[in-house]
Amino acid sequence: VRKNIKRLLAAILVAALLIPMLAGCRRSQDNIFGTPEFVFLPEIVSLPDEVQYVSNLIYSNDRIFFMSEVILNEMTWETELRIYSMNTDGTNLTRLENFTRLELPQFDQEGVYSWVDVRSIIADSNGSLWVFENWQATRWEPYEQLGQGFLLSKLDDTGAKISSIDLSALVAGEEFPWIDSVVMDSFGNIYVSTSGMSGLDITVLDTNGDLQFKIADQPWGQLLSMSDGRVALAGYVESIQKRALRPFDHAARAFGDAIPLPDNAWDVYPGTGDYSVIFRTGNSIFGFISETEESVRLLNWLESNIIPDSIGNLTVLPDGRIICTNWSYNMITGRGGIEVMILSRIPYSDLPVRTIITLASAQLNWSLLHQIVQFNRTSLEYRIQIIDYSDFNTDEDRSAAIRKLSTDIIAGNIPDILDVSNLPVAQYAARGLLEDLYTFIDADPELSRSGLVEAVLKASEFDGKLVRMFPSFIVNTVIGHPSVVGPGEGWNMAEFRAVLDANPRADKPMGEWLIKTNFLEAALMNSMDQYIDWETGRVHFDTGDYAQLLEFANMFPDVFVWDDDMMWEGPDQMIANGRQIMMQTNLWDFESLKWQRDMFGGEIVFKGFPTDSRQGSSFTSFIGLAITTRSNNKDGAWEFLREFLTSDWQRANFNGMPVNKEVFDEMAAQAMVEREGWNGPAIPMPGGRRIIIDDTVDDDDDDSLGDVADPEIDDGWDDGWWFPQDKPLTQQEVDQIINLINSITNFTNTNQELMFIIMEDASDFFNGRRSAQDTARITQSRVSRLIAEQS
Amino acid sequence: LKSKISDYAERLSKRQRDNIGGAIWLAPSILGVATFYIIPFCVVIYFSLITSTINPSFAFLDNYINLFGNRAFQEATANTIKFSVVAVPLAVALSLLIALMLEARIPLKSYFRTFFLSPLMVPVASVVLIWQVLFHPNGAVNELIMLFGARGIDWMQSEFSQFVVVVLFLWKNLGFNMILFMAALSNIPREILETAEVEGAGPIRKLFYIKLRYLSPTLLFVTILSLINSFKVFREVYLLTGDYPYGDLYMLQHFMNNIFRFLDYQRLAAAAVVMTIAMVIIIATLFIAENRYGRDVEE
Repeated sequence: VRKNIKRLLAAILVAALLIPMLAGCRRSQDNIFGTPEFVFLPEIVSLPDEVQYVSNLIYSNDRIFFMSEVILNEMTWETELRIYSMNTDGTNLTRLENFTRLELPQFDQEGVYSWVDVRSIIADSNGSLWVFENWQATRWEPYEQLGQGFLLSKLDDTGAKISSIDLSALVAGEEFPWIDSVVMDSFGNIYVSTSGMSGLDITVLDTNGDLQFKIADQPWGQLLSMSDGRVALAGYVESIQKRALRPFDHAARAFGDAIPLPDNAWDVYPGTGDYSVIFRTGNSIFGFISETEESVRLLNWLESNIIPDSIGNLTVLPDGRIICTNWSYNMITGRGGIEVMILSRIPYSDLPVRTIITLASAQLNWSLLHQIVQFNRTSLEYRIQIIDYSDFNTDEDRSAAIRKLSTDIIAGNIPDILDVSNLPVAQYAARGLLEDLYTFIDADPELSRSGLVEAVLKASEFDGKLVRMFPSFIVNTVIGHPSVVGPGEGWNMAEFRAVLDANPRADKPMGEWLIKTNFLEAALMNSMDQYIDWETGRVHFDTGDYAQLLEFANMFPDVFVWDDDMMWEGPDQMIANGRQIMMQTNLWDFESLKWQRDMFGGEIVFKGFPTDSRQGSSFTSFIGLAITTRSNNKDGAWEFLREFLTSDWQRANFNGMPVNKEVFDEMAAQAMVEREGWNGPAIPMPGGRRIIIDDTVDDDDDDSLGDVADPEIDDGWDDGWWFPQDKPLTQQEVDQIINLINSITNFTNTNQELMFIIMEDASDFFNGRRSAQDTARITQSRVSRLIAEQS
Repeated sequence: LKSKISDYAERLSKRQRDNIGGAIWLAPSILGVATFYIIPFCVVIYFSLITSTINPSFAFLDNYINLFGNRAFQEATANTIKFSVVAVPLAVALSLLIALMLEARIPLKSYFRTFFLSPLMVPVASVVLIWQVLFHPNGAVNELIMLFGARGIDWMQSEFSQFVVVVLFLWKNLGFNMILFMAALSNIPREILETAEVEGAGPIRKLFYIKLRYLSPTLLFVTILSLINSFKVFREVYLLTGDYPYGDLYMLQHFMNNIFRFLDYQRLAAAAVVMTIAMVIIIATLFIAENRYGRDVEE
């Protein structure tokens, strides 16, 4: 027997040794490269024209209820608050005819502004609707809060108020009386949260409004109803140092145990069906199950081809459908409108078959997101699937996204398209991860290198290859008047210092707003090549120039402190009186040069930051997209990327100077055209600027509307609105910008690791802990390691 | 099936049966070691011989040549060797000295033992915090120095930086080494020491001719342990100074950790292989030395 026991024990130990090894065989439950299991298809419910705004959308008794403030008269701005209801499929939209908002008390004084706000609609467990209203009356001059009230009213089926509970007494006597929210549990108990001086007070009333109990001085949180009918407070809980749900135990008249919420659950909604509460992140909606503390992704907006930016009034129905509102804006007509969307879940396999192009990003750009959705809506052959690595970042670890992406790359999980906007593109290029996009441009029937601004493409090259595509760029430089900073573009540190020495009055040579760290960062981003020889891996921070740059940066203030006097001395005046002699600038377009030129007296020269090569200007771009060499769908990836370079896209989405040469030239030509003024005459101003008055606007009710002779016009705010109308650019000035662009050879250095080391060392110098020479020596040692590692 | 297995087993010799049985029982461990050590190491060797994991092609020794030519690798290797050459002998010698002292009849012996062991119980993060306070330019050590009229030292950003870490390394490791030596000292046969004493051998002779010879396996073990720990000092240095420390504190693990983030897996794999070979050579040399020096004692 003993022998058998030993054998059994040995067998158990062997099994115990084997089992942990099977851990590596776990099938990934969240395959980020796979297609989604299901998507949501939106059905749009058209609302009547008068419904311009929707709020407080709720579900009750198989009907949807929402509130809208309807404009009755556009001239007098007369509005009416209405409650509408409709079936969950969007049919049978009806108005609760007998609903009227709270009557305001009358005040006999003049200049009193009063208003009523319907803060929320609440459905109790019997399906009855309640509205929580708040009125306020204020006199502005002299300011006095004349009164306010809070009322909870029960409505009948027609919207008529059948009973009301005055909640004002709950905050009477408070210095700043305010009721945050009112929520009801499934037993009809009413929970009212009020902000007190030392925290949140929660008062519990019965259905008749009689006080049951009060829990005072709680940390700030959001009251909401859970799917099991209880009410919970969602907020930070000190004992577990996390955000958590604390359901009320009504019988015990206290909070129950805290249930930790996921790290990304900041935007929490009432629960429904199987989910205790619902929460929303940037791109997804999750259901949270409090019993298991598990969160389930219910919807990914982008997978469903919806831009989530304008989504509101989110409500999840018990059957899993999602109802929300979407504000859509038509760029051509310039008009916006609200629509209700009913999202129904369908299996992904039911969608028409298209080739999947994966696009990985660590931080999705808004215009990229829009283009993806647009592409997915129109392309019959391809579908972009976003792999959003930012989901892996946590509050504690903001670099988890990039680490996960790197691990995926080495594991061979490489997307077709990489959004390299915030990624170390040089490292990826060096590892052979990125395709040369010149190949695609050259083969494209519509695009060509000469059809793009070639100087920017050239500056972006790695080993002669264009590894990233960007639709627009910005020029970063330093400008000044040639008579002060010297003619000719560019300068070195000695020339820069000579200009400073020759202008002793310039106590803020680059302006009031620049602080030490900002200046140093900008200077280095534009002149890193002076200190680092990227080809040989040699670093030159210890040559003396960098110490000089540090000492110059130290002339700027540590932080910008707002002073009322500054209101009266803007850059125009500082330049005019010689306190400022140059300006760091980012040229987004040709237009921005006009006012800068006029500010410097009608003529400028692009100097850039001081460097030995006299080339201290650089390009920046916001979007950077690359096709990976391991992609099996390079043609599809290019079909997506090329759209950004087309003239149509660039005309409609300009955000910086366009890379498309045709649009670039159009922008340059536009800057040379005299713009038509508004309704008023143009008034010449010193420095070549003109002021145009829009005399259709009167904001101070006096009689001098559009009166150009009114001396008060100089402050810009008295009569109508004024617009600076600068002199158009001349051909020579446009050529000056084009020459600058053609002379720039580098992109702004965005090596975050490098900048972190430099700025960390520099902060010791700025804090007075080290000399400039010691700082340069330490930076030299540390940066040389970094560069050597990468060379 | 049972009878078939029995028939087959009977046909085998006892030795063959033992071998098969042993292999079956060893299989889980072998599988585990193979899965987590041997196969990954083979993958590392493969990575070190290809151009890129993304578009792989055979590179032969190019990655190694590139690695040996890399200035950061050279500096990291030199700093690691320098640190190990200073810290390891000190860690061995000082812990042996303390063990010998505690072996003698001194008062408060158990308190001293606990005192030297206490650093083992302190988490590294807390130790590093204390060290940062002590060796800050305005820290306690500089305050002390300045009491004697000397100028304060920027410890972590000067040529003294490695000294700070050597002190930290010794403080952290002496206690454990000391315990190993104390255990080994207590195993030396008393009769030999007593005989030597009767025959007129002094403490120095006893130390060099008896104790050290009996301690040689422990000396080897402590040296290997200290050597491995000296390679792991990266953790403390990283917490003290981050990814890119100043001067001599930049160790091989900094280099490897940093190039991992840059996706330079080829150079990383080559560095790992080189480091493994170096460790094997050092440890083999130590084994040979121990074999020669302590052979007669073991016999």
